[in-house]
Amino acid sequence: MHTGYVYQGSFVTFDAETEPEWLHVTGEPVMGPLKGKSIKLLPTRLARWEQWKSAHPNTTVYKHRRNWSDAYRERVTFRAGSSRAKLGLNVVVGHESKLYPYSSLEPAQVINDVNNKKPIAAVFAPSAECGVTWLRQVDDRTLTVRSLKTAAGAVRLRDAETNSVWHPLTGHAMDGPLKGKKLTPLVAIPIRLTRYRAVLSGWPDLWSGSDT
Amino acid sequence: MIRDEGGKRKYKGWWRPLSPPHVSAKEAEEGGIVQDPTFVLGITVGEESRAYPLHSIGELVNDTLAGAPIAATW
Repeated sequence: MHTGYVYQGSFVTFDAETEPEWLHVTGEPVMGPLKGKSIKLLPTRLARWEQWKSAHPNTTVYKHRRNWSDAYRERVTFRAGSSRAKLGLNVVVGHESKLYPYSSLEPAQVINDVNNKKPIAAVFAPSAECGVTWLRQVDDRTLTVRSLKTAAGAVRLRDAETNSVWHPLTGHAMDGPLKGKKLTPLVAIPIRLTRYRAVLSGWPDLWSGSDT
Repeated sequence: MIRDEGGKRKYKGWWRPLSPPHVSAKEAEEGGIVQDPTFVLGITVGEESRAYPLHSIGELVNDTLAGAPIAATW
């Protein structure tokens, strides 16, 4: 796939084989012969390197052939770090999505919600400055998760039903009766609040109100 | 969409390799590819994880992870 031009405030990608234009935040073509189809969105994390490496010690790293200047690197880092208040987490379950502004996630760090009839937990991990979303269901059992701060200051999740402790970035149960189990990650795309209506017209439902 | 009079696409976009190189976390740090406080776009497919430093994505990277063809973009 290649990047093309800006459509409704978002970059459009296109593939060399069939030439449709794909809106990369939805995985749907805006025109072309594959209109009506979609490519599969995968769960990703926008996180600080140290926390990503800590959660995924065997990670590999994409190496671009170009050496980027420190000034450019710092500019991108500054923009990513300083724009949090302007961002929301667009959580996609099936063909429905819901937008959680980071400002609503940060105070509680966890929102238990239902999206497209699926129980989900939208989580903000402050050390990684990362929004993550999990299907809060294990073996057909629905969990209610809350944030927990360890003595060392690390943020973990604890479910009210079994008191199991979960890693917020990997979804692994680290302690308790469900130790060894894993939560299923959901597609959650950071997106600018000022853009989402234009980019995703007809898609997101803006989260507001209280935790379930 | 930008097309010429014959209907062919005029703008071909930025071409990127389909199997770009990647290195271990240690090599990435020693080579200065990542250093805190860098932000990365991280993805896990199966048992494999990969981090894409934001400053190096440009707009899109075609890649393969755990045998799956993926496109990383932000």
